[in-house]
Order: sequence, then C-alpha cells, then structure tokens
Amino acid sequence: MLQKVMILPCSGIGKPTGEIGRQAAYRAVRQLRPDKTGITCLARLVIDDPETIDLIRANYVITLDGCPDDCARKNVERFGKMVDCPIHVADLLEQHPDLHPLGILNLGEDGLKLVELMADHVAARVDEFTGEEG
Amino acid sequence: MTALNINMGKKPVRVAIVPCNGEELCEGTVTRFATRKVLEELRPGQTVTMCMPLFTVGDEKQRTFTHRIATVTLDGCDKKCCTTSAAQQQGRPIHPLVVSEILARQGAKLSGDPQHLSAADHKLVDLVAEEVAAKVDSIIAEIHQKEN
Repeated sequence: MLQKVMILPCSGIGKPTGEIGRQAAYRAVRQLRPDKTGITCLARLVIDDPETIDLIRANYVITLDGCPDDCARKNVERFGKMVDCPIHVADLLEQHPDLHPLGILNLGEDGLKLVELMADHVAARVDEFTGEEG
Repeated sequence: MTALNINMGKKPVRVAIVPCNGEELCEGTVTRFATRKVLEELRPGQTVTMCMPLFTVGDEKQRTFTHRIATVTLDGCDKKCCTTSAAQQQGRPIHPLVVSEILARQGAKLSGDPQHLSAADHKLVDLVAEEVAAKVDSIIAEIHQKEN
C-alpha cells in the first residue's frame, strides 16, 4: 500500500505559475497536510537519484506544473511511475481571471490568493488518496 | 576626431544561469532569487536562464537552448544536481557555483526556511547574486579576450 502523498512542483523559474505551484506545495505540505505529505527536490529526479526514485515509487504523487512542458510530471514518469494527480497551475489562473500575480517570484496579494486556492485544491486531492480529511 | 566603437553585426555575448531550484532546502530557494536578481537587476541583457528539469524532458530545442553558450550552474547544496545534469549536455562550458559553499566562505547561515526567506536571507541572496554577476563578468571578459 502506498504511504504518503509526495507533492512535486515543477521548479519553473520563468513564469509566476512556477512560483505559485512551489508556494502551494509548501503550504499543502507544511501547513495543511503535514502528516500525510512530503516534498522533495525535483532536481534529484533529474539526476536519477536512487533514493528519490524509491520515494516517488512508494508514495502517491501530485505534480504541479507551471507550463505545458510538464517538467514535473514527465520527470516522474521517466521512472515508470504514473502521476496520480497531475495539476496545471495555469488552469487555476484561467478559472480566476480577476487575480493577477504581480511578478515571477514576488507574487503580490493576488498571487498569494492563488497560492491559497491551489493549496486547498491539493489538500483536497490528498484527502481523496488517503481517505480522510485534515 | 573621436573614433566610434560600433559593434557591427556581432551578437552580444550572453551567459546562461541555471539554478537547481531545490525545493527541500532554503539554499534551493536562494538559487531562484539570486538568479532572478542577476537577470533582472544586475546583468540584464547579458544573461538568460532556463528551467533545469528541461535538461531531461525538454525537446531538443529546449535542451540545447543554452547549449553553445557558457553556463553558470547555481546549485544549493553539495549534491550539485544542476552541475551534474548540465555536464551531461556535451559541449556545454560549465562554471559551477554552490550556494552552501559561497555562504560557508563568508561564515553566513540561512534561516533554513525554504518557504519564506527572511530579511537576513534576502541579504544573503544579494551576496550570492553578486558572486554570480562577478562570474558572468569574468566569463564575458574571457570570451572577448579570445575573440581579440
């Protein structure tokens, strides 16, 4: 049986969606569902780190990708592990056209609101996998 | 009469900065902020960046986006994921920098929180960014020296 839910944002550095995914992952893992989730460096998968490969194989995986290149999902699936819940951060922005992130790393008030919404969405998916809330 | 020094037809030299973005460590977050600071404030027009995971899953154009230009890899820790990955791209000149090593040389320590950098952490971002900018300058100077 799978244990925890690993939350992997994409490491995107060129668009606010990368930072929104990253901050939402931290919020889900550290504030909302600390007992059920974990985070690891995507870069470790890029270099085929055996411990990290074992980690994603032994757990549910949610990826948060900031653009259609899907770096997080594809780097997980390179090891034959299907991502349990691939999320596109851009979809959230489309659902909330009234919220505009300020910059790439400095998200501003609207960007932080998007982080909260995305983190809540991730937490709900975590509950689905683990079969309980909170 | 003063001679005008016009750069006729020459493309400006650019240096790629690729951060590891490591999500687990505060040092990883520092690589992101330091890279953006160099790109936007310290050396705009002289630097470019790319998302590190594209080394493995990008199409050929993305993987070779910075292939022929000098690349500063900015790793957070001694695992050096970014340098390792960039080194697998044949022909890419790599100039590795590691945040933990830069800070150790200065006797500086981060808060340890990768989610929210403190004001003191941001001062260390500036310090790392200055070191990256100096590396960019030395790479560009070396390239110009070879051309002349």
